[in-house]
Amino acid sequence: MNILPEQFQSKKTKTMRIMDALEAQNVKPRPWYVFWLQNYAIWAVWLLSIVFGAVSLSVLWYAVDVGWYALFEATHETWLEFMVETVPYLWIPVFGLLLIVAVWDIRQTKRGYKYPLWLILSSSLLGSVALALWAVWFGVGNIVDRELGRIMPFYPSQERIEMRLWQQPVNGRLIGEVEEQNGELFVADVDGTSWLLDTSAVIGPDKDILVAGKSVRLLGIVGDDGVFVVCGAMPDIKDPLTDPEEFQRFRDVVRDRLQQPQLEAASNTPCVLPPPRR
Amino acid sequence: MADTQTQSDESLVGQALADRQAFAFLVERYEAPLGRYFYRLGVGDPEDRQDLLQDTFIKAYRNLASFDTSLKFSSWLYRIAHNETVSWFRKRSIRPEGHAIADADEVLRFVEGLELGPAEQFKITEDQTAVTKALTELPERYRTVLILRFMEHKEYEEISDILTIPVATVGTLIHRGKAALKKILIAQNYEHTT
Repeated sequence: MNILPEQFQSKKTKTMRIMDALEAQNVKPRPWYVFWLQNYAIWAVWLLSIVFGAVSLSVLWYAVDVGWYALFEATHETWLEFMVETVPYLWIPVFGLLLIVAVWDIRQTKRGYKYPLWLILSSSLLGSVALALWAVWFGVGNIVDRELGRIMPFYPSQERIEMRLWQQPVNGRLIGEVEEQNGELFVADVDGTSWLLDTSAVIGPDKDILVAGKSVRLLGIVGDDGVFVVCGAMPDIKDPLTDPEEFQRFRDVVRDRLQQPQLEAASNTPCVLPPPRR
Repeated sequence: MADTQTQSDESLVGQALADRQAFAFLVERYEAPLGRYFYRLGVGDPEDRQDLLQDTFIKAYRNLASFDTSLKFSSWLYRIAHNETVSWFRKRSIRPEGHAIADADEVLRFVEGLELGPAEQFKITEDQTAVTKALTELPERYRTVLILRFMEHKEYEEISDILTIPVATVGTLIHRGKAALKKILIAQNYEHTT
């Protein structure tokens, strides 16, 4: 049925041909909510990429943070060497990719084309960094890193890296949980072996953390009798009760002891540690 | 319906969403300018232009509810038309034909926009085909902005909305496009005179 306005019916105008095609193909406007949903979906993708970008940054931040109070002197020659081995690089391309998604996404919004690339890029970057600061404050990087380490066997979480670096009794490093039996202290290491501890050489504040139930990292020597002579103790990074300042304090105490072995002269047990070996 | 002819595009869009026949007034308003735009972009065959017109209006009608009222309706429609033309050329893997300029007045206006010297301007105005030829030799991104600016007489803001690029980029493209076109025209003129 042709119900075109009168003026278009007089001859087969181009307008009429187009209107006929609309009629013949029964073209109808898509409902407004399709576009509304489309628009919000685009913004949702942007928000998600910013949030996940912030999470990536917070994990990187966490790794660097852990690096500051790790006793790198015991495992590596320099701090830089330590960081090169322990920073989870995977998160850098992940962050880059999420940033590209965020920028591409903004360009798909109704007015996204009006803004220059540098503005979209820098605002997305700033958004992620600001959110990452907030995430770091709430320990998101720590949680994500730890949980991913638990779920994915090949993910190099900081806990896993620490275990790899510190589960080396022959090189004088041990990691595990302190247990007490009949007044004697043991450490059940991550391989399940129980080590009897000789703590007579520990005279500083680190002696206080050698109590049952504490997760610790120990520096020492395996004696001929198989006893682990402890020269220094620090909390393990997975210890939820230890804050960064406290980690730093223990780190400094043990580092000073490494650099001044004569301090141990008070003890009957020689505490001469082997040089760093991985 | 008599009032409909004086109504704004935006008001007609509102009516067309409820009544398809109101869309006829928008089609009537824009079929000629869009036809010319297709021609200038290098679609030579009238049947091809009619097909492009039809596809453009069908797409516009289907997406009418997405029309952003902060834009001019003409910019929104030209954007659809432009995208349709680009995909039309891409599908056929052909280059635009040199039909960009319709008459002598248009050549004059266009060449004036290029800010050439009086002698060069006179020579080039004499030879319409030279301008057309030079335009087809330009890279697509320059050709499009020059056509929109100097033939469709669109403002920078409108070109930005049509091509979905920042206004500053429009300015840069026009500046570079003019320089590139002048270079081609001067070289052509030099070839003719030697």
